[in-house]
Amino acid sequence: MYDNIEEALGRSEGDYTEIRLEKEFRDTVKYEKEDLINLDSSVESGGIVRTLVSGGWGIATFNSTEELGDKVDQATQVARTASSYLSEPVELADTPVEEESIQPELERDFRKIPLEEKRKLLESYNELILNFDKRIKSTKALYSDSYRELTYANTEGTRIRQSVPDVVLSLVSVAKSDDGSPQVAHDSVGEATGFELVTGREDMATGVARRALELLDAEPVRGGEYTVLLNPKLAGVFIHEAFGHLCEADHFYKNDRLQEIMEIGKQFGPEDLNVVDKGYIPGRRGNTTFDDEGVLRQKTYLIKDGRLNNFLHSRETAAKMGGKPTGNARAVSYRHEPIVRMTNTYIEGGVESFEDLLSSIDKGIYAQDAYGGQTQLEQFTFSAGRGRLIEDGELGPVLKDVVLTGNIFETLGNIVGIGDDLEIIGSGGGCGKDGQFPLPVTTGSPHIRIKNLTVGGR
Amino acid sequence: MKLLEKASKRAKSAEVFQIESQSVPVKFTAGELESVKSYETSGAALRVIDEGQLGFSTGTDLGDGEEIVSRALETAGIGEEVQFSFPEPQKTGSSETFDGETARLSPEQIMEMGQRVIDEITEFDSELDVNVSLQRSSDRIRIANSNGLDLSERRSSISISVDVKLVGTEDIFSFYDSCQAASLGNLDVDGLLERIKQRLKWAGLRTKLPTGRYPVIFTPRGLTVLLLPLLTGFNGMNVYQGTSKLGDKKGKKVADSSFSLLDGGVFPDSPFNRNFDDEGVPTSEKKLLDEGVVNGFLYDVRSAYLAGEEPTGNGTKGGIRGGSDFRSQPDASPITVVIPPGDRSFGKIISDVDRGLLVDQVLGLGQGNVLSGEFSNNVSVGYRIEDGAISGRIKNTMIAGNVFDLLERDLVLASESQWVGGDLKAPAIAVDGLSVVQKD
Ligand SMILES: [Zn+2]
Repeated sequence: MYDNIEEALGRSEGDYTEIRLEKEFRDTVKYEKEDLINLDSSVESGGIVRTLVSGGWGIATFNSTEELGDKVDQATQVARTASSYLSEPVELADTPVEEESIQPELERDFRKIPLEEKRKLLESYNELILNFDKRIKSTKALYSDSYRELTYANTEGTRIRQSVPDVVLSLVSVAKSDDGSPQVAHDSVGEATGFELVTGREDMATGVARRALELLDAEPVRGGEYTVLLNPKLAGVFIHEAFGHLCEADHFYKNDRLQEIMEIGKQFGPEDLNVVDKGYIPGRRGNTTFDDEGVLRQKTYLIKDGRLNNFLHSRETAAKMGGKPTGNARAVSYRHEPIVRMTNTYIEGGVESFEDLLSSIDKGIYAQDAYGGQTQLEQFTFSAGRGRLIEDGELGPVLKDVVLTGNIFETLGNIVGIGDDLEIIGSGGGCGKDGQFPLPVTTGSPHIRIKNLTVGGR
Repeated sequence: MKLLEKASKRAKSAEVFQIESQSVPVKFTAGELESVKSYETSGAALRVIDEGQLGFSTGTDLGDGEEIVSRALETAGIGEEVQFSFPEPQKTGSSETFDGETARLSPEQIMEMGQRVIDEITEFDSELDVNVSLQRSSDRIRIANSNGLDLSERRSSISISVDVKLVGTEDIFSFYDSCQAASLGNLDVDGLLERIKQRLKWAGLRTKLPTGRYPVIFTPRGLTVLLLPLLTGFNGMNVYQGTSKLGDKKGKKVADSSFSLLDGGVFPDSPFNRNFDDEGVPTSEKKLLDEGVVNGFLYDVRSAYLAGEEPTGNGTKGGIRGGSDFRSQPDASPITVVIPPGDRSFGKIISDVDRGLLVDQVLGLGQGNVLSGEFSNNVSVGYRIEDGAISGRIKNTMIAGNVFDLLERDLVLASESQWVGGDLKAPAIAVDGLSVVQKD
């Protein structure tokens, strides 16, 4: 495959040109209620050329890779047009030339598992949920696997082939009492591993059924300010959404005022707060051994000892800000250019036990799991999957519709307690940014306690 | 069509969805050109029903079609037993969906449009950080099945989306707006700029609204807070599965009689007309709510069969926005939603409020228990109304409620309507007694 690419790169008149080709094999099984709603076995291929001409980016994406040279010409042409408009040419930070071929070793390669076995497994989980209780009205059960073969080459000489596996199981149950509102519970796992990840997940199925039922009798939370104890799942999503995205340098590399707010060394949290983005942890979904600019993965401390320590960079943002590329330029597929993204992002473990964190809360909320979160610069909002009232250090009744919101800088400063039980969690779904969704990532955290957090509600 | 012939020889019935897209996205970051892109996609989806079982596969580089046909048949071999069949040919509308001039817009022309938007906004306030994304695109879609249905349509579109940030020392104000049209002549750039400047004028002063219950006015863009949960109630699959709050309410009044809700594929000035859905069913206009009364639901072929209803032209591939993603199976989803306006002007509605909130944009849209109608959002763009006038921008403010409860109250709909993105036309709507939580 490199022959084709070498020839096309050779034709490039740009100052810098890269080609990324992808072939993806994927199987999907989806049940809703009793119905097998999707069974899909597909192959997709395509590519992208990105080229710099006089400091302007031109990009061409395509499905047919036969006339690669023409695509290089196409990208060059739009780059020329772009460069005539630029006030400041794009530069790329230096990075070593890499030559590497990476194939994952899978315990049970899902490409060799018959589709029928995948279907049957998912059907069994779906039935477990449906038959759990007659108040379970509906389900959504999803299995998907994807195997992406990526080939990357640029005019600096970097040549990388890597294959990226991804397997996901996601289960949703909807419970409804006779005249009540439907209540939803979900759970998912997703990792860069083999089929073994999704077998033996009966507890996950019964878990989502049980939790949806619990929510039927749950009280809606009362809006107000609380001390909130976040479980690792929710705290992981919180640190990814509310803080991780802020550290993506492409948000502010051209904005001086935002750079003042995001000043390296600034105290953002307590002394024992450390936040990390790590490009490789065996088997994890967020793994990016080489990013989509051919930069080797790293471990980057975003917060160290409570202080802002570093940003996540692409070659472009690193050059502009005088930093070093961190291996975080990722593209969700061949249809997109790489942008600055997270990989495996987590809060490092502290010293307090769960009991210690809980027992010192007089009145508060234990917020568990995440429906989702959204942030807009320093503002964030998260929906917890469920919650428990905390009174006098004890867990009380189940709460529903728990939504947390606030200002990230204030909230980081209000972290008063970091647990010793770090969990890194790969779930289904993924991260979205600038129309690129879903990008596989993992998030992680121990239990953390935050004071004065606003909880929405009526 | 070769692929259809090939599949039809080996399966009892087959359907091919084909799309060829070409687009030119142009991106400006912090007021400067970032990149220009030439984007081409060519893909197909094949559905087969063989021995009563459904199979599905998609692909890009199809070659002789052997791989996609084999994969679709393999999935059919273990696939869902289905009773429905692919749609029969029907007469579809013939509204214009394509504009050649728009489809041929050059990168230079698009860059100039973007530059104009940036210049006008930064002229208004040079401190603003403005990101602009523009895109012109043209799609050619063909749907053919073994019942003899064979439809094709070309669709053009031009869109601009703008993201504005005002970074202060203590606070960041940020919002988003967009406009879209099938032809350049209908692209309302002036309206977009007008709305952006209006927000900035209103945002001049920071203020707070004490926690309590207030009348709340949702702008057309803010209305998505209510529409997202509401529309899940009209989804035919949710109705069939028993999870829709409206499933058993057909013919019953669930909203104020000033409120009607329409869905369809063709509206006079719509930015996104389409004469048929992604299964080839005509996109008829229908009333979902008629003066507050539930009138019907949205079905694709499969959910219609399961629910014992007729397909309504709402089979879309790829969810709630846009559809036509060849990789997805079709499911039921709104195409274009229209809420007919009321008879009081927006200005009058505001002047009638002693103390309240104007909600334009929120965080956390669609999170939480959408099926039950619950919403709880951080208002990212909102303004306090005091003595009948906007008195400033609020922040750290949450709204919460239940759509199905709210709509039963007295609603006031503004007489002016506006397109939001490409698929919603609505007036501003005022509701009473919404819970607002303000963090100090
Ligand atoms: Zn994210």
